[in-house]
Amino acid sequence: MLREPCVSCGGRVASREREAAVRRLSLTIARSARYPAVYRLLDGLGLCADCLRLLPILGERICIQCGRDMGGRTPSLLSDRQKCGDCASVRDEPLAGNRGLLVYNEWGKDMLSRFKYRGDERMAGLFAALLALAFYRYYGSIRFRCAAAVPLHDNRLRERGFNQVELMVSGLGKRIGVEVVPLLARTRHTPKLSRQGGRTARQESMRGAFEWVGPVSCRKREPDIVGDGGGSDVRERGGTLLWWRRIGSAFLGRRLMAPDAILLVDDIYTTGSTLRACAETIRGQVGHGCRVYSLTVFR
Amino acid sequence: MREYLLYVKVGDEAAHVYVTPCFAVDQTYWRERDGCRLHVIGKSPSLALAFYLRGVLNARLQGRDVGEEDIAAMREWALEHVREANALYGREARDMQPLRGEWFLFERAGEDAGDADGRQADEGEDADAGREAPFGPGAPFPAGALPDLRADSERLHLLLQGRALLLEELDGFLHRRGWTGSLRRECLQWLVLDGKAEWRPGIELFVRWDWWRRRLAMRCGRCGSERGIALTLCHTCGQGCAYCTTCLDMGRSKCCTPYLCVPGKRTRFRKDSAAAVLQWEGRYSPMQAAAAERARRFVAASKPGPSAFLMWAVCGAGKTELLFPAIRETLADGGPVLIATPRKDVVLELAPRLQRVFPAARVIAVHGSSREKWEDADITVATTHQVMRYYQRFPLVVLDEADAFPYHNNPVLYRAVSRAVQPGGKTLYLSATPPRYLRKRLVPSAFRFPAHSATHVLLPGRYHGFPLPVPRVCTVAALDKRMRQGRPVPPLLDGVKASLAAGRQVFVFVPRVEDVPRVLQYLQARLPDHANAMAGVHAADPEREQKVRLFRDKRHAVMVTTTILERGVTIPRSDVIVVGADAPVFDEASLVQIAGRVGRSADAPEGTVLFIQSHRSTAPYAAIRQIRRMNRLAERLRKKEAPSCCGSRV
Repeated sequence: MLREPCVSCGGRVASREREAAVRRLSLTIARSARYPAVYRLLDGLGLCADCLRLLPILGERICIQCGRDMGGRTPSLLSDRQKCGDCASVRDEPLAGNRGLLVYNEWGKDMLSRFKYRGDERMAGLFAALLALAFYRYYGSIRFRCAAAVPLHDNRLRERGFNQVELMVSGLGKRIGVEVVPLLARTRHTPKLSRQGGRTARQESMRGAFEWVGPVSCRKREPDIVGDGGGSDVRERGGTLLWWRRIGSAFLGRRLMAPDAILLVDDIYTTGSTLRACAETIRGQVGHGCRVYSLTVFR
Repeated sequence: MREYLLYVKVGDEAAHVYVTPCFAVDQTYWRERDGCRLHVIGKSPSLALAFYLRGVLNARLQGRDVGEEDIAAMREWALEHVREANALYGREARDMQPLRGEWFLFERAGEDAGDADGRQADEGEDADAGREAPFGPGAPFPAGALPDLRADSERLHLLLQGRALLLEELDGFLHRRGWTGSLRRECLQWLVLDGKAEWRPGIELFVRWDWWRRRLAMRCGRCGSERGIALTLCHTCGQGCAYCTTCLDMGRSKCCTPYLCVPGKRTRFRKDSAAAVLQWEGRYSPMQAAAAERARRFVAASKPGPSAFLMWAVCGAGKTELLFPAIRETLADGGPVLIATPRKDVVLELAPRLQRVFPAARVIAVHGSSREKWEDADITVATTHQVMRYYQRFPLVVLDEADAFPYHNNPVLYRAVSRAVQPGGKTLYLSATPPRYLRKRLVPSAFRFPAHSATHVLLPGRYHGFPLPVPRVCTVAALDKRMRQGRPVPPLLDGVKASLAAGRQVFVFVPRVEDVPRVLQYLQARLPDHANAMAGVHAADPEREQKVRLFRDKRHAVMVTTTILERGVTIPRSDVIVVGADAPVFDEASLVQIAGRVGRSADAPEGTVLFIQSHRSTAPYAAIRQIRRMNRLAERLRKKEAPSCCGSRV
């Protein structure tokens, strides 16, 4: 692994400074119990010490809704739980919350375009690991019923050959032990979001753009969506998790342990209109008791 | 999703298997040729599989006569090979699930096709071969549209000559060139049948014997590499697919992307081409004149001459100017010239220079982000990777810095360059330190260093006639440790001090990027008087261009750098110190190049070059040997030449 050149700059990965950089980053990201997992993820990231140091990690003070960096080093107790201006103006928010890991800067743009547009599918591992880091940083305490990717329209999928988010999610699922289920399909071919102008235009074009294709079992509020246990590693891990969950719910009652949360994954949260449209579709099918959280690499 | 039809053509000539995306065009094309009968074998959505089957079936046919029962057998063979390919691909892609049940779908032409064969034989109607196909567009191309098809494919051929493009690039290219025809796919197939174009999948499939079992092998049709091909679950074709990671920067070359190569037109041999006007006031030294003349003669020689030529000229010999006569010669023949060079900044500098010298020719600079990328021109100056997009286009290709980073030991780029040359065309390699494989190929005797032969010319002296500065070697034990601890390294400090005192600028070369800040800090701490006039630069430095410009403007006196400044940079009054010359990055060629930074201008032809090593290593001494030898050769030549001027006998 470490013999490979740095994914970002092509430099040498193994170096003396790298360990220190990994340790420092793990401390910024991890709560104590998650430290080993985070350390392992960062260590296997395939970035050299310099690139790790330059990783634009979001700060401590974020919008509690969309996860945007609100500036400032330490959260003051009073202003801690704040929404940003954009989120405060949204009514009927279908998303329970969004979290990202990195600020979308030039580095992010470059990496994402290499993955998405140039088609370097080897980058999927890097992005999956970044998502897993974000997961451990923010969502480590939430039990998710399943994870789903934001889908591409069939035409776009055929043109590109792969769905970058799907690749990321399958990697994420393996790393955090959450079942990945395709829940949605895109029914309308919207122009590339980056080509559309304005927040309202984006929201308009997203309305009703998604359709439910998930398994029927997801609709009922049974936690039992892992139909055929066996086969791959992930499924087995999902199975053990479920078993523990059942024991847990026997003691603690369904309210606390029942996993009625769904994880929605995308590569970037810009205005949130895509993720909101997806969440609406999911909640329309699964029921409003289900909370839909979203996780993105860039915010 | 596209489907590709596999059919065998039986006629007067040997039977042959073809792949087509639009069978109607093939039917129309073969209808015009007498005695051809087409039998469909099957169809598949996977382009790579179709071509694999074509190769296998053609190899099994080997030009023997094909009867009706053979057709049925061929269908069976095809099916067998598909089964095998499925199993082998499945073994490679263990952690992936096929999108449609099987990795490769193949639909064999059905049994009822046999009836159609029989009936057709009775009727004796060769042209209606399409009727036997139980699927696909049965009817041949409508006769009314045929003239259009011909005219359009002619126009398309003119546009595409000499290019090698993936189908996705083709769309953009045709759009930019104002192509309006609607039957693009049909026209392309017509060109392919006519033998004016070739096409193949971006990644080709093969089945090979491993040492104990059969194995699926893949090769990129564009860059030719077999390593670095990644399997992918492709939603474009829905089949087993793979893409090449080696040439990914040029667009994804995949199993399902057709790759089209159209050979260029031959040189027209008209001696009065208007583009071949050379306006250059400079003058050659006698040695240069002889070398330029040799290069020109190589280019002008008739076809069965040598096809490659090495111009081995030391650093600062004025290589670019030596090319002018050769370029003029090719332009006069009406042929376009390609100059391939490893770096974009060289492209940007060279193109306007050539435009000034050849005012009547059209010169374009082609690099990743250039706007002129798709234009046609007389002189094309391109970065190495862009050369991949040309196919048998140029009668003369000049390869600048043939030993530099992207070419060195990179068969992909050498292959790209050799593909850009027309059959029978010429390749001219320029290098100050030709690698061993080039010398072996083009220099007849590697030991005696002959000054010239049919395939090379050696230019051992600089244009100003002064010898190359010979480096000095110093061994400082535990160099790294000394510098880490801030202890003095006398040769380094004295060298820098002496140069600064003489008002000269200093390059300090270090082996690794991490060493740049370390050595810079060390020098700044040790020489506080000049601390502000020092800078460090490496390849990924965002301020790289600015720093180099400041160094050129003499605002920085000391520049700590990795090997990126080893070529292409000319600073008039400068000295060079290499710290850690024993590191493996500094091989003989690299050290010769570095030493070549010094004394390039005519008014300051001298300078010092110092190699500091912590262990004794071979490369610095080999570099010194080479430089000394060049100086000796130059001296000998100069003595020989002194009485007569511009003689062709060197």
